[in-house]
Amino acid sequence: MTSRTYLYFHANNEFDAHAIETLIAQQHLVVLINPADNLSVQFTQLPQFKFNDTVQVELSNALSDFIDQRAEQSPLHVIHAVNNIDERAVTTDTAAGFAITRHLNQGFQAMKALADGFRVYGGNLVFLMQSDTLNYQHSATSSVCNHAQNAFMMTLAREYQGTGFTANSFVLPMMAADTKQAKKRKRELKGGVLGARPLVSSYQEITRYITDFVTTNSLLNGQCIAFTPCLEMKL
Amino acid sequence: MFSQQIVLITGVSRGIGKGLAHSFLQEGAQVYGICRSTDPIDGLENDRFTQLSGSVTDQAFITSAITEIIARHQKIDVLINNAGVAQDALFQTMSFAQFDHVLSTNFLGTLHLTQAVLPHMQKAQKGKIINMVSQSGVSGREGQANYACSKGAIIGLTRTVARQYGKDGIYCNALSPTFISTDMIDHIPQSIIEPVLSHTALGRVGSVQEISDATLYLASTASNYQTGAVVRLDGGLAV
Repeated sequence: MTSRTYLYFHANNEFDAHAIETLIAQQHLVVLINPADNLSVQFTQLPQFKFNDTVQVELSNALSDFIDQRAEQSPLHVIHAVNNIDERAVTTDTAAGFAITRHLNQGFQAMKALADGFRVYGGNLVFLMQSDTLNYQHSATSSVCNHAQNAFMMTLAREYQGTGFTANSFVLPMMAADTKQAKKRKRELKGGVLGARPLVSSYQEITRYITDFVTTNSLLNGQCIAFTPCLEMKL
Repeated sequence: MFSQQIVLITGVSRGIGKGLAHSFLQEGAQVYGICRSTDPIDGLENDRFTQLSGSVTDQAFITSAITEIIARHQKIDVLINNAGVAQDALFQTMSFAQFDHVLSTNFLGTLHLTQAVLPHMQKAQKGKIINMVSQSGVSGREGQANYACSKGAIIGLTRTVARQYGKDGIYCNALSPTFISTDMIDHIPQSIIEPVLSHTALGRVGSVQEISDATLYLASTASNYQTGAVVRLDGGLAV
């Protein structure tokens, strides 16, 4: 198997840990950008770049140089993890708004360091999201960050059209650690939304799908693709 | 239609905001208009118009403005978040300052005003919030990574407010215009506008009055089964 380089943005949850472990086991290089503290510690052996929301010229140059070195040997593929910004208090607490802009600014900084690399080497960028529409368990989702990043993704898709670089989003289904847990979780869900049965996938299925997509996709660009029942509502 | 109603609009010194203020005044509303300019606004000389000069990014100013309105009227019926800035550049050349400035002004300005007004609307168990977004926020646009991101964030906020406050009788919708005939598009070359119009069913830019008409609808009881929506005012772009 050809060794590839995966740039993993904002890794923060159990699925991300599974995906990263899978890629490592397949002998690929995973570079963590702005990982959450727990995953930064768990994967201390991986190259890591941590941006804050100020201009960091040296760090940007270091990431850009790293990519230039790696791209000679393998294609670049970027996975942006599901946002973990707590937006539950966004309508009442000013701090929530600042947390959102800090998160988006950090992402911008890191993406900017890759901007030239995308145009020169091509590649795939995928934003992972959770639906705020079909949220069966009514748990909080990062609706503001999701829609902001979707608009950002579509702008990148337009600007890089024809360069061999594509940008897309995936609205993930409900997931469980493995197939057995996924079946159990699906049985526990009562009914569905507008009559549609919810999809529950295993981490393995989704990891395989996303990594296949970012390594083979050359046609889809600027799309928000939902792993959800066929309803008009997506994100 | 809006007699006795208190309407707060941001970005009223020109363009769409000024047009909105004019339309609501014509419909009998008491209008409070926020803008950075301290100069009186031509065409809004009206006993029912009060200009509040300050920036939507200044939280102390926002708090003071809302306190003043509530002290006088004990309510705000309609909030229209229209103020916004743009600093276009292709992503490869866009600076962090350009990204941060547009994101902070557009998103945080809308957010802070919404946060300030919601408790009063919740107490009254009614209210209409209308957020002016953009086609950029719906489908992205070259040269507007910052603007698109900020408007996308406001779309997410619109849906969140609609979901969380619907049962309090508070509506939150967004309007998404494309090219509207104001000085904000004066700097955009025809070479960019013309291809968009060629894919627009109506084949022309929109007018401020057309935006006002749609806003009046969303602020009125005629839209009382509509919330969380992003209403596209794009002349049938790519339809």
